[in-house]
Amino acid sequence: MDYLAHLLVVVLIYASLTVSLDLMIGHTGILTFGHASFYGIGAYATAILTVYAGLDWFSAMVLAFVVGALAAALVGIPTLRLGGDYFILALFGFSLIVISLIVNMEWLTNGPFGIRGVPRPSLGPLVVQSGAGILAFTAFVVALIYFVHWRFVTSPMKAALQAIRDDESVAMALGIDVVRTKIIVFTLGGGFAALSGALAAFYFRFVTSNSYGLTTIILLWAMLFVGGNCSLAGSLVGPAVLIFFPEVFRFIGGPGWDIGNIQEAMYGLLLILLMLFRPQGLVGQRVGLRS
Amino acid sequence: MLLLQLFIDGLAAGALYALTAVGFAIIYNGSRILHLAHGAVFAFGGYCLYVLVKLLGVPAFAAVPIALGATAAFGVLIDVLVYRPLRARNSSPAAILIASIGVLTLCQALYALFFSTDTLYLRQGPLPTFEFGDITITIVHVLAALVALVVFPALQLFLTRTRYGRAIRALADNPRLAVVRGVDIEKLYVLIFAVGSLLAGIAVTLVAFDLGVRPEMGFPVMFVSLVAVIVGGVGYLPGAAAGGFLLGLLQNLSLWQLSGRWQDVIVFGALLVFLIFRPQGLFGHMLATRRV
Repeated sequence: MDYLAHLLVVVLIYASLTVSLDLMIGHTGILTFGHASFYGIGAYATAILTVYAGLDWFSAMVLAFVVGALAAALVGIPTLRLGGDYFILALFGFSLIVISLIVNMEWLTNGPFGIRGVPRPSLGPLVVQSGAGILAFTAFVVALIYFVHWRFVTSPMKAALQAIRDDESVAMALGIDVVRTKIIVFTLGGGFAALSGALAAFYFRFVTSNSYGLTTIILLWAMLFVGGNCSLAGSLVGPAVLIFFPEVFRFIGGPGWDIGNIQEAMYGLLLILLMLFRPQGLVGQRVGLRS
Repeated sequence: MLLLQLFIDGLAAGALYALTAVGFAIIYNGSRILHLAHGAVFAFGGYCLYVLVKLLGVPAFAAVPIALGATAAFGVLIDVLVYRPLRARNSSPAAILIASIGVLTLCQALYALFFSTDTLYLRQGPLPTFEFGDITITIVHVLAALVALVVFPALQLFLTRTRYGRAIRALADNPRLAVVRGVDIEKLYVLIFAVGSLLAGIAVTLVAFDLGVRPEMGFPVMFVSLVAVIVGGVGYLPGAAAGGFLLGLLQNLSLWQLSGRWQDVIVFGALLVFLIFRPQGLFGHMLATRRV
């Protein structure tokens, strides 16, 4: 039962990351490779603020959002003007720099050892301790993230985002400030990714540089495209499939075959097959991936 | 003296990056595919050499050409099995990029499953070296220089003097016009993937005998090459080579003042600086008449 609760919390954290990634990739067409970095920035901000600065969990979470959004704005303002492939490369470079900085700035991040002992959230005397408690807490925050996301993509701005995704020149001709809109979306997405990072820090109580690198970027993209673009349900289905399905592989495999590698192979194969046969994912919309 | 040593090391590393960067650029300029799986092709060459030399006991002089052929074929296979069907379905560049990431992830995981995540060495003991006072030159330095001196002029001749080379450049300059002029694009894709992957194979041969092979060995090299293509200027092959040498030098000369762990920050910092302030790269003005 505890194990199931654990898997559910992990699915929810990834679902909240997928929904903010969907806002950028699915709705606006910003192909970002920086999502894992903002997730990491949020997790590290939370750990540093609670463990080193002794802040309470709520202020830390709010500040993590602010730090993530600021970092995203700082990265987005110069790079979102770049054309397609250049932007992709810039964000790839950015995420590798973030990992390198986390590992090398020992005075702030404790280097490769990570930061331990992030406190559990508490409300007055009520400390969230049990598996069910942390599940409820995570579910509440993730529901909030989903709600804000849903309001955002059903607002009048939605049409502008879609126009930018489908054809930037047309969007510009319609009088949409493409770069400004992208910066707003990117900043918001960075903030939400950081919020997911805060949730991960509270749950695992430990942050380390390995969790926010290339593997995570690929995992998040796989989750988004398995579930499907532009779909609230898809952003929950993708993580659920990719977290629960590999559990099956725990019980099979050859001698010395590492479960991690089998999972990686599966993600890779899945991405290829999805792009070939079902680019809209399991429940997503058929947009953006066929020209 | 230390500076001179770092300069020589930088040139050798630069030759390696230049080879992979030009290979990547040939594929990218012709197909506009952000072929991240190039990293997996690079590692494939390394594992071919490992299987041939260590497991089958083939002597190196015979193993290298076989491995080069297999690497070129592997690159073509990725195009035929993955990119070609996606092109046929009119997939967007984003979908092709995602599939490319899929290929990279799948290959790296398969290498790890079959050969373990450890570094596998093709040979024991230190490399043969030549000492000049304080300066040490290894056989890899010499070979890298020789390979660069042979491969780049040969490639230049191929691209400017042969029918197929001209077709490759025509495709890079203007795909529609190339089709109008009777170039068979799908055949040409086979050729650019073969040539690009062959260059990756040559580069990995230099690395594999020196440092051994690992599943994820291709990714950092591929990424530095990508940066080299940007720094040199997209669409201009000598620019990609120059970018490769420049990054190799930058990485090694930075060791003079900074510890090696800052190399990533330096290379990717250079990428961001170029992307933001000079996206056309160092030799961008040479492209004045071309659309990038």
